[in-house]
Order: sequence, then C-alpha cells, then structure tokens
Amino acid sequence: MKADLTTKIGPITLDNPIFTASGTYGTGKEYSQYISLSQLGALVTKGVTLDYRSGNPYPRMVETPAGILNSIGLQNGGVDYFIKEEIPHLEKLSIPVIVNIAGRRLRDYEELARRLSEQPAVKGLEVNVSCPNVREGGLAFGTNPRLVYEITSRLRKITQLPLIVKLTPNVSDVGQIALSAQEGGADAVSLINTLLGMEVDIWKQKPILGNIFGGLSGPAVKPVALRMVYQVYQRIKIPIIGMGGITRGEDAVAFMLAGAKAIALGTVNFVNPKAPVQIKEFLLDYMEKQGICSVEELVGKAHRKG
Amino acid sequence: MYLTEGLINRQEQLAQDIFLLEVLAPQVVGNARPGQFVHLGLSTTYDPLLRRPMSIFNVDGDVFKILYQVVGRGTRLMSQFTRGDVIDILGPLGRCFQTHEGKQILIGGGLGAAPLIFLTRKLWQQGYHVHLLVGMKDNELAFLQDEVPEGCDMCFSRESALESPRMVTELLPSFLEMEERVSIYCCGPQAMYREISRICEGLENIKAQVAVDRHMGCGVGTCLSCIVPVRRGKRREQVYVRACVEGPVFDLEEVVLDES
Ligand SMILES: Cc1cc2nc3c(=O)[nH]c(=O)nc-3n(C[C@H](O)[C@H](O)[C@H](O)COP(=O)(O)OP(=O)(O)OC[C@H]3O[C@@H](n4cnc5c(N)ncnc54)[C@H](O)[C@@H]3O)c2cc1C
Ligand SMILES: Cc1cc2nc3c(=O)[nH]c(=O)nc-3n(C[C@H](O)[C@H](O)[C@H](O)COP(=O)(O)O)c2cc1C
Ligand code: FES
Repeated sequence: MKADLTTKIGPITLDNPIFTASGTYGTGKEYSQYISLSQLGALVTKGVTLDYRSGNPYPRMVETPAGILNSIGLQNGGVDYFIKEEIPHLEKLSIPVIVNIAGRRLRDYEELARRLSEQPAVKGLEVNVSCPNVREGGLAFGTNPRLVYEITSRLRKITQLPLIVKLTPNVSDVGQIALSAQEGGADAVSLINTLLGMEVDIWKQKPILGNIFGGLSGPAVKPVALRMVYQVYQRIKIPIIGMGGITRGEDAVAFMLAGAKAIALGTVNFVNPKAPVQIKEFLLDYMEKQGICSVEELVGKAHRKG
Repeated sequence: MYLTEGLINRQEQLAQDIFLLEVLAPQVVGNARPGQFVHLGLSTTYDPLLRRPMSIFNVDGDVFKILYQVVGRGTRLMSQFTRGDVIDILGPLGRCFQTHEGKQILIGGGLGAAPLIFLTRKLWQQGYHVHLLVGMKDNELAFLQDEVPEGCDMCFSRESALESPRMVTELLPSFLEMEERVSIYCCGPQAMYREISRICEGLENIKAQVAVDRHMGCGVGTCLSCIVPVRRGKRREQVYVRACVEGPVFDLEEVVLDES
C-alpha cells in the first residue's frame, strides 16, 4: 500500500503537504538548481507589499543557539515589480503558487488582493498580519482579534482566491486570533511567524541587528510552534499550515499529529536545500510503516483518545 | 552551483589560528572562478545552524583550498576536520572578479588576500604580468610567496615595521602611472577600500573591484540578509543588492562604503 500524500487547503488540492515558508524561498528560482520544484506541495512567495521597500539596515541576520534572528524588513520591489518580473517565472511552475502579502494599512491589503486576484498564476493569498520587522504594519494587525476579523472579512469580499491568514506567536491567546480569522472567512491559517527577539554584541556593547529587534526562527522555536498548532487545532475548523523550526521528517510528522494539514519549511532551506524532498520521503515512509493511508488520518491524531 | 560533498584531502595549521584546508571536489573546482566562495555545512546536527562562507583560496587539480582564521565556533569546527572526512559544500557561489585589460594590480589586506592567490594564478595563466601587494601584521602571511607562480611580482607591507610601507595602500601610488590602463582587484577590510578609493579619485583609466564581506544566511539569494548598499542606474540611487549573488565582487566606484 502506498500512502496518499494529497491534502486540501480550502478549494485547492495539493499533491503533498510540504510548502515553502514565505521569505525563505524567494520565488523558487534560486533553489530550482538543487531540487525539482514540482516535488513541493505549494510554493509560498516572499512577502509582497504595494510599494517598493528597501528593507532594514545591515546587519539583518544573526545566528543564535539552534536558530536565527532576522530583521529583513520586507525588502521587495512592490506589487507592480512582482507582477512584471516574478509572475512570468511563477506561471511556468506546475505547483500552486501562494503569494504572501503585507501592508501598512487595510487599504494596502485590499489593493494587493485586488491586483493579485487578476493573475491566473496566483492560486492563493497568504495574509501576513504578523511581521515583527516593520514598524507600521503587520504585527499591529495580527495581535488584535478585531482587526484580524476586519482584514479577513474585507479581503473575503474582494477575492475568490483562498485566503490563508498568517498568525504571529507574539500574543497570549493565539486561538482567539485564529478564531477571528475563521469568522472573517479565511480558508486556512498558517503559523507561526517569527518570535520577537534580540541579540547584543558584548564587545561593541550594542544590539547586533541594525533594526535592534528581529524575528527568531529555526529549531529553537519548534516546541513553541508545535504547542500553538495544537492549541489552534482545538479552536477552529479550517485547516492549519504549521511551521516553525521544522528541519527533519520527524518534526513535520509531529506538526501534522498536532493538527497541521500542511507544513511549511523556512530556515532549514538556508542550511539544507534538499530538506523538502528528504522530509517528503520520510513522511511517505512513516505513513506506510504506521499503516496510515492518508494525510487526513494523520492530522490531529495526537488529540484523539485511545 | 552544486550541493555536493567534498573529501578532505589535507588540513594544515600554518600559524596559531590560521589553517589551510584542501578539499577534493571535482565539480566545484571545475566551475570555480576567482572571487567566488563555497558555503560550507559544518554540522549534521544543525548546530551551529548556518553554513559558513569561505573564499576559494586556490585550486590544484580536483582540489580547492581554503585559507582561514579560527574566529568562532564554526571555524573551530572546521579546523577539526581531518583527511578522509566528508564536508557538505554548496558552491561555487557568487560573482567572480572580471578581468580588465591593463596593468594588473592585486591588493590584499591580511587574510582577506586569500582569493587573490587564485586570481593571480588565473591571470598568470592568461599571460598577464601580475603585481600582488599584501598587507600583514607581522610576517604571518609570508608563506603566500610559495603559492604564487614564478614571474609574478609580490610585495608585502608590515604593520609592525618601523618604517614605510606599514600599510599596503602605501605601495599603490607608485604603480599608478597615468599613461596606461590599470585594473585593481582588492580584498580586505573596508578601511582599505576607502583608502584605495581616495588614492584613485580623479584618476582615469583605472578600474577597481572589491570583494565585500557580509554575514550570510542562505548564500544563494533568498534570505536578503547579506545586503550591500550600491549606487546604480542613471540617477545613481542607492539600492541594496545581495553580496552572495550580485557580489561578493563589486566595482569599487558603486559600493557605498561603511562609515567606520
Ligand atoms: C564571501 C565570503 C568569503 C569569506 N572568505 C573567508 C576566507 O577565505 N577565510 C576566512 O577566514 N574567512 C572568510 N570569511 C569570513 C568567514 O565566513 C567568517 O569568519 C566565519 O563565518 C565565522 O564563523 P564562526 O562560526 O567561526 O564565527 P562566529 O562564531 O559566527 O563569529 C565569530 C566572530 O566572527 C564574526 N563573523 C561571523 N561571520 C562573519 C563574516 N561573514 N564576516 C566577518 N566576520 C564574521 C562575528 O561577528 C564574530 O565576531 C568569508 C566571508 C564571506 C562572506
Ligand atoms: C529570512 C526570513 C524572512 C522571512 N520573511 C517573511 C515574510 O516576508 N513574510 C512572512 O509572512 N514570513 C516571513 N518569514 C517567516 C517564515 O515564513 C516562517 O514563518 C518562520 O521563519 C518560521 O519557520 P522556520 O522556523 O521554518 O523558519 C521569514 C523568515 C525568515 C527566516
Ligand atoms: S546570504 Fe541569503 S541572500 Fe545572500
């Protein structure tokens, strides 16, 4: 018996549950030399904003125990640039492409959704209301359940595309925020974005990152992310895309058992570009050995009694 | 660009914290150009997590060499590899030095000079006469003499010396005779680049390139952490580009150098 890896997020059916995490995979071009992108379940692009963003000052990344702190600050060419320069490459991919969007104001998100909905290559939108690295937007929305509801319901009216709301771990009750996204009409939630942190250079006696604070990702955050996926699963009915510190097949399985219908790989790509393929192979092998035929059977199993 | 494994051929300690590593990796060597780097995975347990970028110091047959200094955990791990061990390599990566006609002047500051040895060899193979100027603290890089093909001019400056040249940039002006074209290739700290920029200011027929050192994440262009401010385009507006893809080698005149 061969296990079936297909999974569904809203109306989209995916060949397998392995996604790339926004901001860690560009638009896939760079990694297509090392793995075949058709092996992925879906590709989630880096964050796109309405206008060009130069991003935060250098240094933007520092290694921490079993993780990294980053303060990229959403550097990107803006949506016009994205449509002109990136879509042509994305159009050629055989896998669904989900575009991650971020804004300063509600209006920005609406405009982005409108513009991107006109692009046949775009199969879904991931709404970043959780970027810790820009002052004005993102996180300010994502920590407030009322605003998460507002933003989701407004986008719901604008676009037919599946909406995935990306949640921040920098809140005390992540389940409440997830519920607001569901009530607003989201097709799925994804979590976690990075955990706010910082590092100090004791010789220069100054913060290391140019932006002072940054977002923590990588293996160090995995237990926190896993706990949040588990909690959110108990509160909502829509699918969860789990991420945060997944480096090995075992981690991916743990997220699915906790309730994730798909998982995304971020930081690990920087270290091991073959990780998506290796994790997929592990998952297949694990399911077969455990006699689990479908993703559905695996998802949330850690919650079931007996 | 390959994601591959290399076999450690030799590890030699040259000074207290300076090492030379030789890695057998035919694919990488076959595609390597001077100025490019390899991104090395040093641990299979994701600890330390990130790869470490290292310039290609030289090549020899199917072997590439790295000259490095132990400054932290990653480089200490690197120094523990021994012959027969396997190392995880992503590379060769980045933009290499572009050869320009004219007098060939290579300037290196300290260990930063590493990629210039590979460049010296390439230029020499192409029939150029190479002037290699290297700045060191004391005498710790004198061994580089043995890595350079015969017929190349090599000069050292010593910071510890009582008289000039103490800084490598002091050697430069005497090479800049105005009637000919000059191609300068630099690897070292930003303070050195600022000084070279000052010396070359207003002089025509000089093309200078510099290799910029940046903390790196992915090494392939996706994480946007290794940014370098450059002035490009007609309006010479400042934009951030990636040291790992658009660099590490840049034209000196376009790089916005650090303040300190
Ligand atoms: C393109 C490129 C080529 C390089 N080539 C060489 C080379 O040929 N030989 C060589 O010895 N080194 C080279 N370096 C620098 C080398 O990558 C760093 O020294 C190394 O990553 C430090 O790792 P670590 O774990 O030992 O130190 P860490 O524990 O990470 O840090 C120790 C100290 O080194 C500093 N450091 C860390 N990374 C860098 C970096 N990229 N640049 C400067 N300082 C850093 C840290 O701020 C800290 O003070 C190169 C860097 C780049 C970007
Ligand atoms: C360098 C970097 C850039 C990121 N950029 C974005 C982004 O633009 N939008 C977003 O929603 N998340 C962004 N993230 C967060 C990741 O998508 C992911 O949620 C987080 O890193 C946790 O997963 P990981 O531990 O597997 O990396 C970024 C993360 C990193 C490390
Ligand atoms: S190191 Fe990631 S973009 Fe250069």
